[in-house]
Amino acid sequence: MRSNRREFLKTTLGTSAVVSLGATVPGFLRAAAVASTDDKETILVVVQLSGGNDGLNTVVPFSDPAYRGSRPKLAIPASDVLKINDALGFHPSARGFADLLEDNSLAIVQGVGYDNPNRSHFESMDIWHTCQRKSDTRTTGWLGRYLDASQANRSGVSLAFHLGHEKQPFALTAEDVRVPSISSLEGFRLNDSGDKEVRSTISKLASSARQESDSILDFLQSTTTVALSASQRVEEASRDYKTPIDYPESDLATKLKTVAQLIDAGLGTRVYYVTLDGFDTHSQQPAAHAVLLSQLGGAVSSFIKDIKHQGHGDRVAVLAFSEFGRRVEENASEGTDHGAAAPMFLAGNKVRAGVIGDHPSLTDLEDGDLKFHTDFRQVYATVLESWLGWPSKSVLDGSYDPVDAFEA
Amino acid sequence: MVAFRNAGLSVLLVLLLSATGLADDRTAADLLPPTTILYAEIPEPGMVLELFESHPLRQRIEKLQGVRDAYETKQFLQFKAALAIVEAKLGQSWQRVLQSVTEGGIAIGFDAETQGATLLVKARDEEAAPKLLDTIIELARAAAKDAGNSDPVNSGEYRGITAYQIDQAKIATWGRWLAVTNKPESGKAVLDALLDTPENTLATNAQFQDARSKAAGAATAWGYVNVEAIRKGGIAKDVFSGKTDNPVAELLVGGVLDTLQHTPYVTASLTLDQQHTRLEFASPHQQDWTTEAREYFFGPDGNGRAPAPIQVSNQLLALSTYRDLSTMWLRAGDLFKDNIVDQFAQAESVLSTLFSGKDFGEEILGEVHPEFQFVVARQTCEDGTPQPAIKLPAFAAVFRLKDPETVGPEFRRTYQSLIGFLNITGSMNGQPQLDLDIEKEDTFQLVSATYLVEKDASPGGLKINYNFSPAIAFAGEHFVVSSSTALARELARSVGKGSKPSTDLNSTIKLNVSGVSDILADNRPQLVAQNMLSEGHSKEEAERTIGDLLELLAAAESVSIDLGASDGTVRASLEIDYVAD
Amino acid sequence: MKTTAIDPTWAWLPYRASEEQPWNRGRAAHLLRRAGFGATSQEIDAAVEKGPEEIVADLVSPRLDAAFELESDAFAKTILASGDPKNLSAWWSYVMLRTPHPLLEKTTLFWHGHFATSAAKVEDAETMYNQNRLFRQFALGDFGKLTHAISRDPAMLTYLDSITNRKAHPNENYARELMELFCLGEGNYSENDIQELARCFTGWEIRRGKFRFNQFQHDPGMKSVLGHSGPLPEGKSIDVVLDQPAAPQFIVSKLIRYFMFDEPAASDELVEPLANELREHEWDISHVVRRMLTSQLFYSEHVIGRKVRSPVDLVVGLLRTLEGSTNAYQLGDDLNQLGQGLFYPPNVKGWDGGRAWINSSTLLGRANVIGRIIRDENTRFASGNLNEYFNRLDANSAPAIVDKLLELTLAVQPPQTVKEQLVEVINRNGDRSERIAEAIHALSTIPEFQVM
Repeated sequence: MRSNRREFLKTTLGTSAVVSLGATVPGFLRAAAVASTDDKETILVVVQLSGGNDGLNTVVPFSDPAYRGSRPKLAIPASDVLKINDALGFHPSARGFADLLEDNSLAIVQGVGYDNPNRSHFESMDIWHTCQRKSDTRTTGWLGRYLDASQANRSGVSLAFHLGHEKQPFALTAEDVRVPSISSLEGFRLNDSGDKEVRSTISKLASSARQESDSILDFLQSTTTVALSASQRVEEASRDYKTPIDYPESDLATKLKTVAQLIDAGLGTRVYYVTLDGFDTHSQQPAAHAVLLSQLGGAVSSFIKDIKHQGHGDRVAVLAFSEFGRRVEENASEGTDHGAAAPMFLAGNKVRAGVIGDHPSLTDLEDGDLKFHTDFRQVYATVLESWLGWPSKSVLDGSYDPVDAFEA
Repeated sequence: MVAFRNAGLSVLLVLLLSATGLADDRTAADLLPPTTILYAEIPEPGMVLELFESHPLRQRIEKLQGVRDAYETKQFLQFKAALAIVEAKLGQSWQRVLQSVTEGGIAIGFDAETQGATLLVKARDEEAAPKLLDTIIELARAAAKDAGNSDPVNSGEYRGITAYQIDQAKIATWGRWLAVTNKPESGKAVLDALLDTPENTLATNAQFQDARSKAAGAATAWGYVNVEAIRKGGIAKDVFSGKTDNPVAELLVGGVLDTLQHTPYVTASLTLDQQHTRLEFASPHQQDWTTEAREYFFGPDGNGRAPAPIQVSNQLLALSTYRDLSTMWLRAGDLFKDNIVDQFAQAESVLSTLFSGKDFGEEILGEVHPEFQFVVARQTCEDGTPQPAIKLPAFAAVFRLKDPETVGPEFRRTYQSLIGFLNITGSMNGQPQLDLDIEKEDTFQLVSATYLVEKDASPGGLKINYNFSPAIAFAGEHFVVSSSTALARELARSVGKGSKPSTDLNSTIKLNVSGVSDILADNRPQLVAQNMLSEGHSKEEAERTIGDLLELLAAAESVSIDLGASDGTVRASLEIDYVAD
Repeated sequence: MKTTAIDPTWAWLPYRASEEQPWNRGRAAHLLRRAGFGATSQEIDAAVEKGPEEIVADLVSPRLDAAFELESDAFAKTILASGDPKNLSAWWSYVMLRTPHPLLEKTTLFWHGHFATSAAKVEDAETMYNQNRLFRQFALGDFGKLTHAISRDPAMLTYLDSITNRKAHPNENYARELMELFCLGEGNYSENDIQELARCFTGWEIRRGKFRFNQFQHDPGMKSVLGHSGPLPEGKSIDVVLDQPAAPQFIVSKLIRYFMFDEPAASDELVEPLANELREHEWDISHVVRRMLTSQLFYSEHVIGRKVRSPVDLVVGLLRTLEGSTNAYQLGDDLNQLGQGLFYPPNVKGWDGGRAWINSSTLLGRANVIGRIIRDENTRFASGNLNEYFNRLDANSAPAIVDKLLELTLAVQPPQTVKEQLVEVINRNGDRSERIAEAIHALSTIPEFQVM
């Protein structure tokens, strides 16, 4: 499959030939060639867990008596957890995460949160998205600011995509860059009749030489060429895409599978954003939470396996977060209420696998919630600097110590 | 003299015909192989044609502006011209042609062995069928010639009968019969049957005979499906797998899926006349075919019966059924595919939050008897309640509580906290507020919530919220949940008077069509505006489209759907009653 | 080609047809595209006949009769009854497709992007509709009055988190945007001006969806805004902002970008004459729009083909050009997908326009949307199909159809090879209407189709 794409690049665009011809080649062709030589760039896939994931029942401190004491009904029995070490274990439904850890592809960043935590879904989510409080003027998200800053030397290709039907996450809002929201692979493809003759007509139309030199038309022509080649790449990638990985049946898995196909198509996109909703488990938590963790673990582990199989394992990382964890004490309806600190997850070949940081104390609480010891912006800083290779200070509006989550 | 001679000729002709064709009293089932798994027939097509010509619905349709316009389109005029040519060729109107060719009935069968579909038509006499066939062949040739294509008609001989092939269709006539089939083997089999009168045919098939013997008298059309053969053939496995991924479908027809896993056959009969259209499906049924997981559907001994339907004023729809919802909810794992079971688990968590921590399947659904009713009624706002711009109907469900004394107060508290919750979220979103009220009469207690009308309400009409004044009522063991207080009150009064005996059905639904058209008429400006946007119509075009829709609806009086299992048969029927002229 | 090279005196002289710049179908189509959403062949014929002066005079002062306004208001209210602001996108798409006053709608859209307010935050359909009516009322009218009205507009104040504004903690949000985005532009005020102006707006509140002045929360003290001191009550502070020399300069340069060309930014010298006229005509927007649309500059190579089509220009433009009608709900969704959701601008800056409309996925999206719309079962062209439509225009042969299509839809003609290929597409076997649809779909992918 990879050879197919290479073949396409060689025959259709003649990348190396075009680049070596240098100045004699029209600008639009050069842009197209440049846009496709992106095999080395790292890619970030953000998985947002909406509703507030119960971190305590995801990464379970099974040996801590305080855990059982606070969760008489909801505590996962020590015999059921998927052990991480002598003190911690995954929820039995988070099999996918356990597999990833075993495969040295999962980092668990413990005790992540922020000062003076807000317990409203919307407000806390906005804080995670913008890195700013309500009293600040919030116009852009952290990823949006990264996109704005890094777009200067790009042309044509969308730097980020949001996959899903929900409202676009604030995190992706930028001053200048518009991030497309797309619900399926169809949105990346030119939806023509599939007639070969029409196809060739369309690419001929776009590439026919124009007499006059006009900067807007030049720009349009080069972007059109990039778009048509991207469309063709996505189409070929999805047509030839064969994976031995059996993705589970869930929306999240379907979305991540689409992301895998797009990465394989070599679009040059750096950030993908997907959401899994339903973590607001105030009542009858056990069954609902088990389903969610099984979907999450299953989808992410299949995705990472797939990406490795396609040969992109070293340049893709997944970041999973939720707007807050849940209260330590369970409530009277076999559920949990809004809390504060919780673990974040990073997955991929290049993450430093294992548990980062201590599990927050279950007895030294703040308003009944776990105390954070790692600010979420430290994790963002890590991702920006160590993964995307971008200075984090201006994006996060401050300096945050990165955590040691990626292999050097 | 001339008249005499003609009469004489006629007599001669009749004698001649009765000696050959008319003596043929075989039916299509006598000619189809015993392995036929699908069979459908219209015994008297002439009657259907007559009904079609004179049906009041047809006249209504022809009066519609949209249809009148369609009659003027190029395509329709072309079609009419083509028809006229055919009529000229045959020297008769197409109705007459059809009548004479199909007088002995039309039937179609699908044979599992040859995978062939065969259409058999029995004509009035031995002339009609060949004449029609000749005309068809002639026209096919003319059309091909016109398009510059080669002769599309092939012909061959089998046992002295000439068979023709046009495209995929193989056609032959013999005596009064015209046979069309898509497989040569099927064609040969039919011709063999016509010539030899075989011993084993569909008509001698025991299962078919059984189905036939149970068929109701004079159906306009009748069909038979050998489900057993289809099941064994491994076709449509999903239907027979027993698990669905559609909870609504499960609720509506889940019990029937069990029957389909065992039953030998299903029959369908369609009855048409000026005032009614009735379609009935029937199938042998045994109580022990029902799996434990689906006991919720027909009841533990198959004795679950729908309560007698309630009547309310301005009723649009009444559904009365037996469904043990609690058991269904708890059995979700056996009934549905995994992804749906996951959704049930998540829904349980959300619903339980809403019902203050109670287990929804067990503690909420488990507190009501399986017999329940659902009513939809048009709201007239005659009692002075405010008129919203978009007028939605009210709906309500009536349950019987197992333990009204203890559960009643709990349901009331749950209702009150829900209203409180709605008010809090509503005030955050700028929605109007609900005002709680309790009223008591001798036989019932009613707890209601009404939206307060804002002082400076929009001149364009009230918000859609004002269609709702959610209420619950307790009348003896009856529990009413309704979207409108007025409907809850009416229901509570009526069920408080004691209940009528149950029906002998599992479920029955009746839709009052004139009520539907009233509610559409209530919202006509909205429908017109929506039609303008959704179809890009001008206002005039949209007015006409909506006018046509209302006009069409005015033709029907009611639609009923019944489902029941008794005397070893499960029956489902759909009946449409038309407005008498 | 650079605007710095444009001589302002020449630029704003009334356009006179000449040998270099003749008044012809091309220029008439250009005018009707920019001053509306594209024109049919017959409309172009009529415009060639009338001449630019008369056409523009009609466009800038639409004769709105009361019955028309009443009916369109009733239509909107009916759509509003569902309370879903998404329906407003469909409603406005429909209005743009069918309006007899295209320049009025186009300018209303300009103000929507200028005073950008999104229903994603406001959420209430009626509040958004009332703001839209305000834009339409003042679209070609008095910008000063519009600014005063928008400063009290419930949708705007809700959008800018200014539902309450207390004297103890003046909310600077509206004060900042009023100067930065609505009237002056960056660099024409200080942070201190923002703080002082914010004090003037204390006590301006929204209660139950309506504006209310809360005198108990108003700071009646002395303020100093942009060099003017005083208590500046009611709207006096807005007048101070509007009286700044930068104000007409800012508005005229935005109008030039909207109606004339995307880039480079118009020079101060080019903007100044019209800015002065806008001041002299007491903020009458119709005056400067008329001057722009009848200027030498407007009909020159500096303007023709120098704007990237917005999604509205692209899609509504194509449909109006071919007398198309279609499912407006779908159309509203399509515009949103392409980045111009009506009633849903991306942020308070509105749509950036120009090159910002274009990236690889919006380009594919544009072609996909056009391809979908022309094949949609609800899309009809003068109530018929595409083949019938071109027959009516006497374009029967494939070359005639392509010529007509290019003339109607493009401001800049593509190379001859493009025409030949489109002719080939139409000449292939199959249903003629489908072949024409195929050609339009292919046409929608070319660079020239994206500009106007």
